[in-house]
Amino acid sequence: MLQMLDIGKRFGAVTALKNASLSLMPGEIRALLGANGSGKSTLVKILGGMVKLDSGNILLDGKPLLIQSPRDSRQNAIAVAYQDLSLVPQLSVADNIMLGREPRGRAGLVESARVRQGALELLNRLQVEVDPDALVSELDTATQSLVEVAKALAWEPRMLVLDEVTASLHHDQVQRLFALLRGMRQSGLAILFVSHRFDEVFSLCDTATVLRGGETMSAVSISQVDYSDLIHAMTGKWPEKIRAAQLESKLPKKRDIVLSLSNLHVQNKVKRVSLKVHSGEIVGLGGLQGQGQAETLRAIFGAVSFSEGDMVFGGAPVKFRSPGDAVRQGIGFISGDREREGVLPVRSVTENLFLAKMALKGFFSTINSHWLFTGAKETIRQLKIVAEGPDSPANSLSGGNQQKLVVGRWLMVKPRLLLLDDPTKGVDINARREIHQLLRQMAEHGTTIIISSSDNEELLDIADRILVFYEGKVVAELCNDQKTEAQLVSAMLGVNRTSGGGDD
Amino acid sequence: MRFNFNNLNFKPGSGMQRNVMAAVRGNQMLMALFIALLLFVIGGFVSTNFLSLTNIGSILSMAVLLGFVAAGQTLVVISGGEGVDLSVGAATSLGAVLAVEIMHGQNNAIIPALILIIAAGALIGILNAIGIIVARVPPLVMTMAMANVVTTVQLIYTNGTPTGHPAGLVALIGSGRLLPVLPWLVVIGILAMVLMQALLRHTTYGYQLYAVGSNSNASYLAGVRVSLIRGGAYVLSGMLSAMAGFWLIAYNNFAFVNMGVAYTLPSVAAVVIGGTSLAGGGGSYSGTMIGAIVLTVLGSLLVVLHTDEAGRQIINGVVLIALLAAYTRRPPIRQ
Amino acid sequence: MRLWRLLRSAPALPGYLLLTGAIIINILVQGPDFFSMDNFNSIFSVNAPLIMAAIAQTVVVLTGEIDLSIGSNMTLVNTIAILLANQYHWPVGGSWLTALLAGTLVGVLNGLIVAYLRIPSLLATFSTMSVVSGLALWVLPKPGGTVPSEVYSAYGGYLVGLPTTVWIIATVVALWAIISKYPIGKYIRAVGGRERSAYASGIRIERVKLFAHTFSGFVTGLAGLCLTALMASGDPKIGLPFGLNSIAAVILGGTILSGGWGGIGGSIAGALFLGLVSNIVFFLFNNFAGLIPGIGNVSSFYQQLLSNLIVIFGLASAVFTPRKKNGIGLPKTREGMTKDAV
Repeated sequence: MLQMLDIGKRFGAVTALKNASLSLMPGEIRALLGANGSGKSTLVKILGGMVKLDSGNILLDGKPLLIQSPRDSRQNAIAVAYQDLSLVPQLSVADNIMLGREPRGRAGLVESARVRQGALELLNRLQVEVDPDALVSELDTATQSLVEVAKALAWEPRMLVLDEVTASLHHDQVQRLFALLRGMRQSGLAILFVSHRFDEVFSLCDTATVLRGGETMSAVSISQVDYSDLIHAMTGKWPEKIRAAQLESKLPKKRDIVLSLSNLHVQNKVKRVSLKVHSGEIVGLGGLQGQGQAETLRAIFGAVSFSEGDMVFGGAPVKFRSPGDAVRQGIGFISGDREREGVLPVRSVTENLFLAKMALKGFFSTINSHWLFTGAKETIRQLKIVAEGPDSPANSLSGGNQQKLVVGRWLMVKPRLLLLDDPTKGVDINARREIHQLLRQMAEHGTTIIISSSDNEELLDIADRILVFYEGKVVAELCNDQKTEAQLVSAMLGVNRTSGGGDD
Repeated sequence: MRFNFNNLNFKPGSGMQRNVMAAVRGNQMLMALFIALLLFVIGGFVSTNFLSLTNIGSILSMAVLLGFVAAGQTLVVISGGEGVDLSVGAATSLGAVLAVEIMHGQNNAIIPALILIIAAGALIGILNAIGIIVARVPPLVMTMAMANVVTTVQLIYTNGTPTGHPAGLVALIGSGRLLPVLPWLVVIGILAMVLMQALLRHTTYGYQLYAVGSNSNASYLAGVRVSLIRGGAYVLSGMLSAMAGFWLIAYNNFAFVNMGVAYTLPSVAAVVIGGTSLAGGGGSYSGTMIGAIVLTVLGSLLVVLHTDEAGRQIINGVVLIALLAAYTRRPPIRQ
Repeated sequence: MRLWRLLRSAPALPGYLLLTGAIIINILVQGPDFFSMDNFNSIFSVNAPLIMAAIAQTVVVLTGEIDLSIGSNMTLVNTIAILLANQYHWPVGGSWLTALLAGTLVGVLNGLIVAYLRIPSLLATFSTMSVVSGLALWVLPKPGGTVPSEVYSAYGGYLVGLPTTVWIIATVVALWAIISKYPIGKYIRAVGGRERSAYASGIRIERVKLFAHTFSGFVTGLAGLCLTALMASGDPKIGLPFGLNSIAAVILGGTILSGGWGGIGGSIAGALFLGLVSNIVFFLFNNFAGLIPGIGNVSSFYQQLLSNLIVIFGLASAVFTPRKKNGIGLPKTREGMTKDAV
């Protein structure tokens, strides 16, 4: 019924999709799988009309389909329930569900009774107990996700795309949703199911398409594969026999503890995280995206506030009120979101490199531009930054070189602790390797490093020790011989959590 | 309102596109200079007097006055975050009113007048900064409201009509000329450019101001005290604008309530024409001065062509919309 | 729980509370005279222009945009109506309708610039403000002109027992209520609440914004006509304070500037609050200013100062209302990850 052929999409310098293909039959439930950054979300957004495709074709019932807006997509009976939701927090549940297809009566007026009734029917089918008049902003995330599904169903689609809607649902909510989906399949509904949870994929789906690096790696029937086949398709490696992840740390105890967290709690995101980091150590934070790694790093840095827990840095209990405080205490932070949180796009290479150093200098110190210039040149040489010169604007550099600027910024102030939040996202291999070398050098000179990454290879490559996050908690700690991709992947998928797992 | 300042930065497109953008931006100041020269030439065709050394000197004097008002505006716009200061005109007026009332023609009152003017300007700036940073009123709205308050303060202080006039020395500087084409005001303007350049390029404050304007989140995460830097821009803006009032009465020799208000919109336009993007994070004061010259020449030209206040306002607005359409469009939602 | 829900879904509550407070104080300073029908009439006819301007502003703010050109648009409407009737001797009906059309067109223009050129409304309407006030100055360079006495006495009079202005306001409120019953009413809030979600739901956000600005222009036109009837003359600076005051009224009425939350009821209350406060200030100065030496002869300036300060208080009062509810973004979009670096 639906075919997507050789879909390609680039965002600036980053290739999100190349040669991605997908097909869907009536009554089929297909899983769309892939590691972080494999292009699943982009593919879904192309279907939903939120992203314009650069190349490739979409065929509906054999005829070419041009999707130019979300409206086109919905009018062709494709409905998407988005991971980041398409709800309006300030509107009621009923208004949200029927948004864009309000039942209208005399003179074209919206019949609120029918809006409410239609919404109630859908909610009942999903067995969600929620007041249709409640505002969406008042709901918990699980209910919001279900309302998002109800909203997609309201369009009476022939194709339903569910983009990780189960991520925040409880076990029984998932089962109820699945029962409904299985029933709807009988009436010919085609479903594309995007999930990181393998158990769900195996229990619900008939077929699976696996993306890696924006390409379709395989399209298989679920009954003919097992976990390791899928992990192989996703990562390109065969998992070894999976052992239980071990929570015991085997670190040499002789080094000083630079940072220790106990029972850190950030609202909704981080639950009772404790960790100790030694000087000169590189600690990796692994896991699927959005499991609390980013928030943990930002809580340490004072960029988000934590509600509970204690933090000891350099022997003294601290709680930073702003990143400025943390920087003055010798902590640095690198975000992977270069555009939003890293570079100063229109400013020069020099200015980008000296930013942290200037922030430490107060307001009215004078600047010797010659000294800046030579300092910048030296750093450019040292970091092998490809730029026309110290004066060229940062946004004239490639993504990798931009990120090197941000690394260089902290190299100049030599912090005691450097926090990196997915620092090499969308950075090419060479630049990534160079950044890794720099980090190792910094670690050798005594800087302690905590790095979160959505790229498993990166973590395995650079970290002495990996803490795996799942739903806001550290569920595994991998060091030495346990530091393998298979261990990491299984821990991050929550496949075999050691104890106290289940659904809390 | 939703106005994500980050969205205004150019999305990194292809390398080539970026270079072209950068080239256009880099040359915007040159473009402005070219436009200014072009306007002078047109003026020469319209009226032979237009290109006399005296007339050029007068135009430059008036441009410097606008440039003074636009000095603080430049800082605020560079600081980003929708930054714009619509109280500069009112602060200028207050500065002018205070200057004549305090000096009353006496040379020995110059220093006290200057101190008081700068303090009053700083107070305006501090109140703006509190409203914008603490109460999160959009800068444009906050400073517009502040302008109204400052105007009524002038009314109360002067009872409606300011009395007094500048000290002799000040008036001499304000209207005297070193050369026919080079009034003393222009000399002071050049001095101001040097000082502003030093502030922006050679102090850590200027450095961080550009950084905050370019990407406030990145600056915040690099340890910059974003609120203080941004608030500081409003305080400096108040002080610089009040000082502009001092020179305004030095040039005009008299003051009236709200005499600076006519400079508010042109100050924004001068900043934008001079290559400082309203998205923040870029630009220079020399660009603003060139922008001020463009507007002043344009104004003189319109006067020669007998265009009235209405026409000038319309032209100002249209020019601004054209500039916004060129530089500050939001990206579409669909990627 | 039920009360909580009621309060949560009544964004106008702060506006109503403030208004009640102002009414009580007004009664205290003015005495029982407050309750006379004539007093109500004068309150409404004096404040109808601001009430209408606040309604116009609310509709735009609900979409997450802002309109700074409302004041100058009212001026344009005033000058056109006066010019056509006085200088060109058009009938009052024709000239006022033309003026209303002009006001609506300014709204259309704003909508096109904001929605289709995608220039942030704050800057876009700031620029159109300059153009429109220039046009007004061109239409009517000097204050002057008159309005037929039937018009302004009808405006200040009664219709079926109620003040005329109450009828005018009620008509606009009813019009908005009807629009709210159409899908567009929901879409306006959806676009303001979360533009991305609205777009993903298949809503054509450009059209919604264009509609909101157009409707706002139309109501602004009515506000300008009310102002013309009230002042009974033309003045190229007549609308100046309404741009800011309408924003202040909207904020006081509990509508959130980031969009999607609020309503015209609160804004009407906010506008009346501002009106009553200047009423109170005026009353106090009239009766007691003489007691303070030196103030008497400049008391109108102090009144202005005080009302300007109250506007600032209104603008800053947003700090007391809860910030935009952000419980919906998931980590992908990184909404609210860093504290806003102001």
